[in-house]
Amino acid sequence: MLLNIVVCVKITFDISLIGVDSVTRAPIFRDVPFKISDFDLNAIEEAVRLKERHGGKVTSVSVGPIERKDSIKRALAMGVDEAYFVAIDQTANLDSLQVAEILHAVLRRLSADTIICGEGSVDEYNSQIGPRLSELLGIPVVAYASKVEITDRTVTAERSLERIKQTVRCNLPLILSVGSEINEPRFPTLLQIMGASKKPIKVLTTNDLEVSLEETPALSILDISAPESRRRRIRIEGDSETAARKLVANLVQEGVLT
Amino acid sequence: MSGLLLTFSERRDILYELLSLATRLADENRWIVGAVNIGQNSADPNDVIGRGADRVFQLQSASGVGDLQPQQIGAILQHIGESDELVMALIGATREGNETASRLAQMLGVGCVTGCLDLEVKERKVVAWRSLYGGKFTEKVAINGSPAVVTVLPRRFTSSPPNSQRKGEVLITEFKLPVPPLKVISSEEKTKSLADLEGANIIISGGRGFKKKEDLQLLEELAKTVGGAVAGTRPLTEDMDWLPADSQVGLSGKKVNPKLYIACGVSGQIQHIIGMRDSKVVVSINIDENAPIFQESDYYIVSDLYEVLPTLTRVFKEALGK
Repeated sequence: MLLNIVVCVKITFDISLIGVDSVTRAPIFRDVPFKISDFDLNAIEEAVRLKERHGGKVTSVSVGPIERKDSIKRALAMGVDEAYFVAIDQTANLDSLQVAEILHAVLRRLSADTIICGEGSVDEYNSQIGPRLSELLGIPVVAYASKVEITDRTVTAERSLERIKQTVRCNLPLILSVGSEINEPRFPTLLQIMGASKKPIKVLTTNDLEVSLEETPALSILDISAPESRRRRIRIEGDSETAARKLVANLVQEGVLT
Repeated sequence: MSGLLLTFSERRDILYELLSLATRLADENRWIVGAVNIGQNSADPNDVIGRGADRVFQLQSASGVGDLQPQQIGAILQHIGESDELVMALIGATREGNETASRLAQMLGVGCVTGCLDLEVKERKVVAWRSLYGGKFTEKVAINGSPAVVTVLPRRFTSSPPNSQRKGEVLITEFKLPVPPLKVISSEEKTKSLADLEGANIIISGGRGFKKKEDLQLLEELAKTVGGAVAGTRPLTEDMDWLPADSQVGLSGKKVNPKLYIACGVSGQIQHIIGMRDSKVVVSINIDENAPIFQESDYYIVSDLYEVLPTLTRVFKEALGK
């Protein structure tokens, strides 16, 4: 049983390096590198493991401004066979409705039987792509999957919801959304990284896909700013005994111990 | 009055929080508040009216309404929304709720804002606030289409006290449920922590600074001494499974606001900060002088938690006369 796996991969800013303008509190993106969104690395890892177990092919699909394209090489080094990159206008702030439409257009051409995405992206964490693709493609989604087994085109998956853990079953084709608990993404070797440069990255546009996005996006961002931390940041010094005593004295005074 | 604002959560406590926000928005815009009261945790419809609903939608289904899957709930919401002018769907931002909302939005061909902190309606336009970039930033976003589909984080709004005098109607919707897409083989409640984190006055939390599960005893002893609840970061609760999943504080866990939050061996990833930054006083202990958690702390100690915690517990015991 060969699997035709597609993994949806978002290239985001490395959010830990986004700066804050001290006056306007607006984000500063200058020189912030791009990377694959954290949970999408888990999605890639799971896709590659399924391929290793069952045979088949893994294709990645990304949507984003063209300057983010090279970050997908890490996915190729991890074992993805081929990458599609849908280039969009740098200034376009696509919402989940638009991204799902674009991904849907690519997925239709690839006729995948297993589609894997992260449970949410590290930058926006909208968590909408899996369920939206499920509606668009008319196939089930197992959201928040933490363990996946495929036997004869039947998928058994464990997943972790708000208050329950479930084991669910359904047939291929299906969509999985995964988080960090499903696996530990591999670090590609130097040889794999070099090998990845020979793998194809196919760049597409929305015109190629015959997708026309709505003139008015569903959402418009009005403002992005960093809330100011009002913390006092008082360092308590001294050996353990001294520090503990100082701290407890302060907390007693603050009246937070009752 | 025109326009229906529909609320839904598979958790009753969250539904009541949504109703308190919904009544505020409905009063300002002369909307009707609807509540979809279906599934395993549905309430007495009169209680739902008492918490702010003008219309309670129940489901009449031959097969009985047990544990519904998000796809089915999405279809029910869409069906109910068709008979009235649906202006907004407010759904609780749980894992299930986010899936339900995303599906509903896709069925309706509209946008969706998940994990909202707050909402307002200005000149008939819905504006939402949500966290961005792991919580480092707050985004203000306008929803252009209608209806507006949003999920709201738990504990952002306080549910109104029940009012038995409130008037409302109960509507029984006939709807043929779609076949559930997933076959549920087994389902079990997650291990529950004994403590109610969202109501706790003191929370002692642990992060990757702990080297093994047994060492969490140090946290528990401190928590017991000060009468606090034990919590953890995502690596401890989900990846390592050292603590119950419901004791996770952070972006994908609980948002807490105790009087005192003591973070031990927590580096201070922004995903964690977003869950605890509403705490009144924050203390952190970390061996790494550059740990970002210090920026979010009122008091911090740069030291090995394995040395500090036992001492701190002893000093607390003395101070509290235990």
